[in-house]
Amino acid sequence: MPLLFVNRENNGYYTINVMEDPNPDNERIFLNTWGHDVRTLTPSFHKKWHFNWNDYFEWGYDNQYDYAPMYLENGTIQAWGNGDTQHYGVNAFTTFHKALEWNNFPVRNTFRTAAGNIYWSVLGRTTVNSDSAYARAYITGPDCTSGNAFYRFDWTTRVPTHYCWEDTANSRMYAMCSLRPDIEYVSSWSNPNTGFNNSTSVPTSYISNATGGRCFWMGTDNAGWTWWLFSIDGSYSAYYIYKIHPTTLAVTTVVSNAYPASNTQYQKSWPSNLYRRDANTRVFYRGDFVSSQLVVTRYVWDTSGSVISSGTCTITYPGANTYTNYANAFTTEGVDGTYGRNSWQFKPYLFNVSGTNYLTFWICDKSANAGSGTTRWNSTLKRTMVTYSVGSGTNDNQLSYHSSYTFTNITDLPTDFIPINAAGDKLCVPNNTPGIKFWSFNTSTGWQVDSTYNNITPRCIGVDRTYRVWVCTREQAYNTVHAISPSRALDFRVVMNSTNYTYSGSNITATATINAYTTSNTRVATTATLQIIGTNAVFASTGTNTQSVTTSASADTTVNITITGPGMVQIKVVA
Amino acid sequence: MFTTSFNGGVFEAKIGDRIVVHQPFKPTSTGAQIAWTDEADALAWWDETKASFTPPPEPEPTPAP
Repeated sequence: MPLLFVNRENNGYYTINVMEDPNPDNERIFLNTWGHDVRTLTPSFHKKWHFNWNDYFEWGYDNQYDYAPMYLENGTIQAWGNGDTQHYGVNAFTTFHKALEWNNFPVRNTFRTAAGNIYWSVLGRTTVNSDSAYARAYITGPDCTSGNAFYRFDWTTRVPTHYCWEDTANSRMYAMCSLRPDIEYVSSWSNPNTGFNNSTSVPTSYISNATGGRCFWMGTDNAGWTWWLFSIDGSYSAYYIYKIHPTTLAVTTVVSNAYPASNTQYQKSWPSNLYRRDANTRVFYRGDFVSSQLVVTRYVWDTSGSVISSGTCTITYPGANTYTNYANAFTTEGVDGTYGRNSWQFKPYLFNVSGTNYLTFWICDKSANAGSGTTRWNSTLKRTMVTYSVGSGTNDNQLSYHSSYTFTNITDLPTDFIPINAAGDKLCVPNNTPGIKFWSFNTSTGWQVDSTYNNITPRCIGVDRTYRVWVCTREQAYNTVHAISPSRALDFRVVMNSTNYTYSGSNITATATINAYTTSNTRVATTATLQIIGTNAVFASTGTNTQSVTTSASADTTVNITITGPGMVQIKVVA
Repeated sequence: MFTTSFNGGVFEAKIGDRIVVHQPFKPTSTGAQIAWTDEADALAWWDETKASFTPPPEPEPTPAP
């Protein structure tokens, strides 16, 4: 299912193209504000998201300000840029990166409270590249297609853009305000379902860190403190880690001004996602370049003792090799030395395959083929990313070289990446070609490209609850939306072994062959429910008109059908 | 604007009666939680920190549902 629709309505700026309803009971996604079944994309007439905020919407249309935001349950990334010092470190729509534990403590632009109400943040057109940030945050009832919406807004800073955590025990909501390049905030307010109504006052802000501080949500510890990491992009990617008391809301600084000595400046060393070593220990990493070598720092968060420790990892390479045998540090020509609002980021991505953790240092630049990008990435070694296997248990500070991947040319370089399956070993990676590549990890050979989807310029990419990939682009002079399911079966083919049978009073056993294919025509294993529509035929194994079947990626799957009388039937895939 | 206290080795900064900073140890770049040497040690840190600390506004009144 490639191009889904082209939004020609006022150049697309009165609407948000894709908004997934965070209420799982609704199983709904709004396309151009109209409700659709999120699994089948069947239109739900008379179900329209109707709390639009006219002309301050972020566009999906024409220039560097336009990001075509999408609100999706399994994360979004910003995938496009056209200059070295555009705003692209602000990441107002990057919910995936804002969460250090995207599976357990996700960050979203929308949020469903425990009581069922829904927050929505609608970001203004000039939001992501301007100090004059526009945004409005709504709260609606459980069904956002009816009733009233309360809103509050602030023209400058503190509108919640990323909802992080509802502390139900203390009736408190936590969010980030990530609108401006110079400053980000953590916000919090009490009574999540009633304390956010038609008021122009700003939510209480507890933490900020000026000069290009990017905020990341870490999660809560065993005592209920919320933890936040700020990375100051402007110089050495210095980390500050704070925790907020769940009831007094007092702030404690746990880590201050942390970065490896003599690291190369302005690389934007973002924290990796974290993993849980055990019930009380969470671990994450950062990567920096010191004397041309990659230095990896491990952070160990003891959530029972509420402490963090850090140290440098040991890295083992084959023979006498070092990092520079495989890759070189990228350079940072075109840097914005004030706010660090640059188009690149250096983020280690941590994932697990068959019980082993791997750490890949993704090099992403939204402006690799513009501005000074050609200098930043002017060698194959700079354009090489390296993956390490991570030691198990407390040896997770021991990294071993696993594999590397060289991006052939500048336009191959990723602009960003986002997981497209729950395990996290499959990624959607927009690049500067422009286009999209779908990647998977092979434990023998490393990352590989499985399929490509070119000739589009993605501006925002998101993943819905079914792991369908949504891409918002500018094409045909308008804002367009693509829906792609690289690993999810979209095309079920059911073929009877004969088109007609002669019934002469005795039951007939017939056979149907079923296969499932992705958009790239790859046969895949998946589970589906079949239903016989018509009379006098049932599935042999169930004796009813429905049967669940699991297809195969390598062979036809067959089901037997018992025809018990004359008639006409068809077989549908219903789920 | 802020008032500070140092009791039992714990430094706190308040706005009115509200505790806005609770700092029982000296923050470090490694995460090592080093005890304050004394109140002067904590106040020296606070003097460096407070300029970049965003003082939270008063908590909002809880509106009627």
